[in-house]
Amino acid sequence: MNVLPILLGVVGLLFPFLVVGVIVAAMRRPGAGVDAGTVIRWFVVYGFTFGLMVVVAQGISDLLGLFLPGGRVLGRAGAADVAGAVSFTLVGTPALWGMWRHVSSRVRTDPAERSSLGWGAFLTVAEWVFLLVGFAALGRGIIGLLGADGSAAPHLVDGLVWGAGWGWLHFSVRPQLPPHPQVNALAGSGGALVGLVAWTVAGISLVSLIADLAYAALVGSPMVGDGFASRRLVVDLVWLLLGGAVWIWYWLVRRPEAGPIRSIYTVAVAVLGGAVTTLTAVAVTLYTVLTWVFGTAGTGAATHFRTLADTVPVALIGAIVWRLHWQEPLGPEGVRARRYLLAGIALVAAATGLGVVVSALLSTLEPPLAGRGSVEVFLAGVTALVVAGPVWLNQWAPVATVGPDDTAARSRRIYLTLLAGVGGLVGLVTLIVLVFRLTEALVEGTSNLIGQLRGPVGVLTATLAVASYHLVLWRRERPAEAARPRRISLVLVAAEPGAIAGELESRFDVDLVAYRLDDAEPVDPARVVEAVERDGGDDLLVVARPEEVQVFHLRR
Amino acid sequence: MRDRTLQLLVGGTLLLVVVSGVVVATRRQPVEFDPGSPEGTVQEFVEAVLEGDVDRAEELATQPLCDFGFDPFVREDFQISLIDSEIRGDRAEVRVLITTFGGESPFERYESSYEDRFLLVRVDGDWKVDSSPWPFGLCPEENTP
Repeated sequence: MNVLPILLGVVGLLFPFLVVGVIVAAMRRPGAGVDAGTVIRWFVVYGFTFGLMVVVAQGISDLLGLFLPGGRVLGRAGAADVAGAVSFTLVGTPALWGMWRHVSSRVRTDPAERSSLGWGAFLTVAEWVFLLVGFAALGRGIIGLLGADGSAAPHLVDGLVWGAGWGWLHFSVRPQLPPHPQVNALAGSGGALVGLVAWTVAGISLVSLIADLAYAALVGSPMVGDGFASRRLVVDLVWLLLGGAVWIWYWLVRRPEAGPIRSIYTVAVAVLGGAVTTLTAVAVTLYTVLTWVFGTAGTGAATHFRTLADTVPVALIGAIVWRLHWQEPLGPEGVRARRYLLAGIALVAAATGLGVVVSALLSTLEPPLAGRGSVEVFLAGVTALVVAGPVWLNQWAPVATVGPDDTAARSRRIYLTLLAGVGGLVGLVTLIVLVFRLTEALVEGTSNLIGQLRGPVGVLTATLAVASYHLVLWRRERPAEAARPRRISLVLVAAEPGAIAGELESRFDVDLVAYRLDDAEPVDPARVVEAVERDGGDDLLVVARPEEVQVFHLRR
Repeated sequence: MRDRTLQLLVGGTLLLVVVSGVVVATRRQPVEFDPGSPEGTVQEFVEAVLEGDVDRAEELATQPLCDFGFDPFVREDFQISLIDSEIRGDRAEVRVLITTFGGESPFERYESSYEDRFLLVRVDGDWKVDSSPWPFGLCPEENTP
């Protein structure tokens, strides 16, 4: 089995989560600075352990493959395959055993190491990789077993070995040596994503197969042979069930811990996975219908509507993913982020449509010699507007005019700044293109000025509309920023600085360094906030103990 | 939706769409050129290719059409505009701007334009297309499949 492409795929798939996880973990642990030596130790110890795990899993699965009836080794493989399997297992297993004794005893006895980024990242990546490789192999094994595609035994062996590795990490290591809760949430969300992606792809393929068969029956010419259809049915069903099982286990049964990671995952999947996929498929479907109704289609109905067999399944499955994740409970900031993200994407899509409509309008100034371009350009623009416009209005209209609480919200400021700023920038670049083409046309004396200019004019119109509207709002809401929380720099010493830090960050614009106070009882965070508020200083040292919250002024 | 700016934005967009729709619908017909002129011949040739009427297209050309020369591309939306034309004795050149439109979905439309020319020769008093730009490929007799 070639593991490398799968590993690369995993890294690619999970890279954004990894980055988010590292940032969130770093942000949520104020004062917990990590020196370079520790990072290098993590890298060596955990990287080495992970490498050994892969070597052992590969070795054992190859070794078992030797004994398969009709298997790869007894049948055809040469000495190199046998030697590879034996050396991987013989060397890897004792090395992993020794390494694991060292790692697990350190993690067990040192709570700081257990909640560290190194352990969390190792456990998360290892569980993801074993899940994905085991899942992929098991699926292919079952498909082979059912006689739909490929051979069964080698994949089943791989699936069982890697699956056993995943089970050990998931059911034994993780509960016994639990990492930081947010790292747990990252692993849980990643597992759910693996299941969801498999379920979604298989679901789309399955519905599309049904649509293909219906289409073939309708048109009267079988486009797919019976054997092909039943094989595809088996393949889709296997992935649908396996993916669904993994998703249900991670998302519904185990449930990732509530917090920023789960919120980011939920919003990203609901908006980027569900909404964008659904709206794009709906737009293509509508465009296909419109071009038929307005008579610009150059082919018969059967050929013209062929695309619907692809777009309708995507819209259907996308809508299910959208709805499933849209219903997830989120905090107020999560709901806001979701609203602005969807509104922003829908607005950009609608603005594209507006630009295309303007371009189509201008194209009529110079009737063509031949071709049916301008009507289709117009219909494409209208489709984008009709599909994305209402989504934008639905998300944006309730918050178009809001109170000071909302105008100070970070997600709204980012939204307005991005749309006003990036819109302005795009407008400027388009203006440069426009003037460039105009000058070029005037110097060269081309007779097709409108053809050259209508594209940039369309983009410019749309970006100006978007940027100026948001610039007006941005300026109108700026005074609210003056009422922003006080900015302070603070050194906190407390028994449980985490909870107090969270409370302080929600009340002040605070630059915080926290130290844990040993052998002391926790203090109610509200008392610390009250003491800082009463003091009024900008550079503070706060020592919080149950008997007294002391505030000292510092000088730089 | 009490925000006036928002109402203006939405209203303006709707108005623009309606006006554009009316204009595009009423002015969708290409200009008709004199069938006896080089421009008219090019127009008729391109329309024949678009409709898949190979016989008619070949009647208007000096050589056979290569099927593969245009078949994959006519499904893409495109438009041809006249830039200018010039007649030199029994030869003529019609310069055009070819714009192709495409995109996976209505959200990601693209278009690209390029200038090219049709070369025509006069045969027995009628203009015939002798060389045509991509994607309306003509091909030499020996290469015809």
